[in-house]
Amino acid sequence: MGELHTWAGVLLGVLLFAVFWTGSLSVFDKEIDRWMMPSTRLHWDDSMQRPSLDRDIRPLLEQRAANAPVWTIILPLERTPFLTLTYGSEESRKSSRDLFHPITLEPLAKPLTLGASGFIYPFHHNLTLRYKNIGAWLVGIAGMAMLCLLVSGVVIHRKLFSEFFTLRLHRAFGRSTLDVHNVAGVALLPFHLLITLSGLIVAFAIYYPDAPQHTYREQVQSGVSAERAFLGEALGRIRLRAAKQPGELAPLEPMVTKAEQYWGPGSVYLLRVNNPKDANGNVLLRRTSHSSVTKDIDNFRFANVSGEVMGRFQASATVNTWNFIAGLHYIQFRHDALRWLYFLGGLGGCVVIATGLFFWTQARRKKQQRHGHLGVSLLDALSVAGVCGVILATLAFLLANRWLPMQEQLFGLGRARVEILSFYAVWLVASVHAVWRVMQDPRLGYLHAWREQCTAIALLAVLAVLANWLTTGDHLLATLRSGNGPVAGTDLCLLAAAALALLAAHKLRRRVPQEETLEVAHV
Amino acid sequence: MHLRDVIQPAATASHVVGLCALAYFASAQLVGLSGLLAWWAGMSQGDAVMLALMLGFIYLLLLLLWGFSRERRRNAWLLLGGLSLIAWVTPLLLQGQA
Amino acid sequence: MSDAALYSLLALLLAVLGFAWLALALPNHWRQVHQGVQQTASRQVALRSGASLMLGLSLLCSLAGDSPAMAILLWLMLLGVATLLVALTLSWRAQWLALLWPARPQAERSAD
Repeated sequence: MGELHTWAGVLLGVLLFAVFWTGSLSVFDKEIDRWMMPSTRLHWDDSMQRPSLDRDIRPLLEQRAANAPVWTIILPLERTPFLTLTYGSEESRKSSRDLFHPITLEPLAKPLTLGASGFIYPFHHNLTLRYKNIGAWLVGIAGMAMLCLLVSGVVIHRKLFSEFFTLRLHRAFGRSTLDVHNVAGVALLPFHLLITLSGLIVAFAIYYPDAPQHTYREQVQSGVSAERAFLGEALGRIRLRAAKQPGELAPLEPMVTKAEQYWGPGSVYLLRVNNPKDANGNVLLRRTSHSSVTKDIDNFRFANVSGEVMGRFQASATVNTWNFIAGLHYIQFRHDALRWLYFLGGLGGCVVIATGLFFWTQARRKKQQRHGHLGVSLLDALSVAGVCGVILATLAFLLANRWLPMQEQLFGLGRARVEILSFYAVWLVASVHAVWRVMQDPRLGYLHAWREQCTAIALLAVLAVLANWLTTGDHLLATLRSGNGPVAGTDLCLLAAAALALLAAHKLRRRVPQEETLEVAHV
Repeated sequence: MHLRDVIQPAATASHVVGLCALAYFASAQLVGLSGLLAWWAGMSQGDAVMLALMLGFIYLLLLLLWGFSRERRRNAWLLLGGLSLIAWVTPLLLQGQA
Repeated sequence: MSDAALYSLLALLLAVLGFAWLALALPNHWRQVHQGVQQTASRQVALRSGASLMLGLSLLCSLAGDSPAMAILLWLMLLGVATLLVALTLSWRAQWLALLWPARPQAERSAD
């Protein structure tokens, strides 16, 4: 058991930290989006009248994407207070997306950024490495390792109950780091188990792609893919072929009214029009699930031309169990207290992983002191690069979002891409800095690296808050006064991060002389 | 530095990575078998596969914990390998007969 | 403050009290908080029973304010917060916990 704990921790600690870090941020991804996309800092609540689908939205679609194979309409919601229209084109698979003011239907200025929901959230579940799902597999392996670490960590911790509340913060750094690791790990154990397991279960299609094979043997033998059959039956995901005959799309409002007879008024939030100008096209309607943990995947399907109900999908109890588990992980339901607790719980997980990594490198260092092992030093550099580096990269992403000029193309690349390059570039610089510090001083270089990068985190966080003020005028006092939760919240968290980073840097500064004294005492 | 110092960590690394892969393979076979058994027990095809999928990660966790807590490494390989084989073969045999 | 928020806050306070009592039931923390007062087995039982009661009431409070699934989820998170708060209090101001289960040193008994 002990061997499993150490091995998994070393190999995957850095990866796990990145997944938990981006995961915690993803809890508030839509709020961070408001910060990163100033043109979307709007207000929407349930009491407001949503735009008319046939009178207001249809003309916009006809104007911009009359011949697109798919139209997607996402109606304004509280956390995404604007109308979203997405349309693919016949030539390319890429779809384009336009945002509109929820009341006036003025087109909003293009955000020219992927935002948190477009970069940080995908990074969390697939590291944005989509080739052959390599990124998702790495995240999956990290997830399984986390489960093993949680269980083996509990088994290793023989004094679990007697040391449940033991936090000896005034003792030696190594002892107090281990105490923080243990107490935070135990306090958040149910949360971490639920989040990790649910995260894996959500992505079953990647990790167990052949699961339907044996059960759907009949379908396979008659030429249908087992996976398609399963997704159709269990999740209501059906693709209907176009007739290649022209057809006039019936009004959409009556379809929504019909669906809302069953689902409740105001519950429809998404319409997907497949093959809008085709006789065999269909319109898919989805509903919100604000007040239940279970993610609602029920849908209504209407025929394009007649406007009649073609079908209604209702998930079975077993599938809704999966939807409950998924909903537990995605936390898209309305509950501010839980959302904040999830965010703090995720950051707590980051602390557990970082302290675990730090404690491990400290323990290894004591064993290999005499041999002056280069490997240990590089492992220290890896820890710094993995923890501070990804935080710095995220801050750079936010800063780039504010400072880069609002032009479609910059240096020959799309603006959104330049923001992402800033993320990776700063991560690389942080890694190089860590390695340099550790090579420069194999014994204490890692402390200098930690301290300097913590200071850099504080600096970049404050610069980000200033950047928001200078580029949008929505400074913290203004947003607090106007009740702009997302922007104020992001600024406040940035300032809190800066304060914590400065505190950490301060504690590390005092630690360096301690370490030097210990060194002298040993010699 | 002896040859032992290189071989031993390499052997441990291979054991860890290999056993993880074998445990994953075993769990995947068990998922396939569970789905089939659940369907034959009366669940709809979709429900049966969904249930099996949700159990899959639990299977994997249990197999990993069990595999790495064996006293002798060889036993973990033999038992997980055997389980994989049985779970892989059973659906084929059952469907051949049905 | 909305009803749901009040219930959540109450649930948190009950959980903190429960965990504080669980901590006091452990010998090393009792010594930290009440130096010089002997711990007794019956007091430990009382502390643990009281703690279970508080944690149970905390769950009921959560359930009063939310749908069952969200309430249980919230309760699990609040338990985590409560654990951390008690651990931090023990680390910095252990004497504060004396207020939650006061105890005076008993007169010395002669060894019979």
